Amino acid sequence: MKRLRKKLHSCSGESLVETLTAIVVIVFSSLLLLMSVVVASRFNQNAGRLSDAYQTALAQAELHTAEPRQGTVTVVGQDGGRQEITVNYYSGDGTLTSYAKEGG
Amino acid sequence: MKPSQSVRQKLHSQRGASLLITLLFFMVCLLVASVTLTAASAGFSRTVKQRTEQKLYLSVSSAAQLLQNELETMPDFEARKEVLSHQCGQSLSIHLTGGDFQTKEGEWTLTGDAGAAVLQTYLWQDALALCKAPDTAPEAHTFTIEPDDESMSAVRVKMTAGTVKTDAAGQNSYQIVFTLSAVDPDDKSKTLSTYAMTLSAEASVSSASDGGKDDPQGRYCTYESTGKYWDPVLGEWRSLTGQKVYKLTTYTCTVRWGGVKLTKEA
Repeated sequence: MKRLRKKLHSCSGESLVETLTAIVVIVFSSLLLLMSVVVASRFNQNAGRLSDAYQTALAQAELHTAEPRQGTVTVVGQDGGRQEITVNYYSGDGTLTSYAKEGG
Repeated sequence: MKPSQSVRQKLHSQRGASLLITLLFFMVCLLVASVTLTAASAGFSRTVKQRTEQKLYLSVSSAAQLLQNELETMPDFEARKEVLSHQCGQSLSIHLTGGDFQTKEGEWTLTGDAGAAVLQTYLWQDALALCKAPDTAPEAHTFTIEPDDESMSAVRVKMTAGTVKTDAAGQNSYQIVFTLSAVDPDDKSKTLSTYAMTLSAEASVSSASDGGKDDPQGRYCTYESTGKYWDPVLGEWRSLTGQKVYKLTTYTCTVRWGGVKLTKEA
């Protein structure tokens, strides 16, 4: 019992525990930083890829360079009147689409 | 040991300092990592948001271009009004056709048919209303342009025509303003102000009349002159009676659409 109390109050080996803990924390922190940088660069890569695809799709839709698909737009009046107009749809990647009147 | 001495000792002690520095390093790493991740995810979500907004922009701009195209190819509007008048009862004569009119004004009527075209119907309704009453702005019309492509949004259009104005050159015209905004895909009763666009067009109004001609139906009125002459055969003063053919004047109101201008709303 006396021995145990002495061990508890002893300061010997304390600097070693401190150093080891510090090393663990530094390694953990560095890993955290590295992981975040890796994840961020992946995010950026994906964003860049998305942005490139977006720019291409936008140009195809806006400048009508995509393959046209014939369709219609319906004009619905406040009194319920309906008018169908034949148009060409230009879709960049299936999500960005514009249309223009045939021959217009 | 005195308490002040113990505090001073604690302040000057270097025990556990490396752990404190390590924790500080950890905190800095955590901060840098969170900032990096937040910035990267913000960039990513901005790209996704940009795509959604661009869909709305393409829907609205396509609808605007369609309207512009429709306006540029819109046939001219023409309405006619016939006015029947006569000269009986004027310049020293008495009008004998009992209960007859002096001038009968007809209604403005369209010379063509707008058919089932919604935009043309609204444009012609406004043009007709302004031919009848140039100083009264017609009521606004609302219609929706619905594409059959699922990736696109419907666009709501509010069409407002102004009153007829005369410029310095004496040319009559009125302005038509189309305000386009995308319909909220989640709530069809609402519109999204993002990428709202305004399309304005100038409608020139010209009026003409054929100067009047004899009634093609040959209708006429009867008159009696107020001045009398002596008839030696009958031996009495007599007045002169005669007939005058009605005069039919046709007024024409023509409206032409042009000067279409597209602007993006702020």
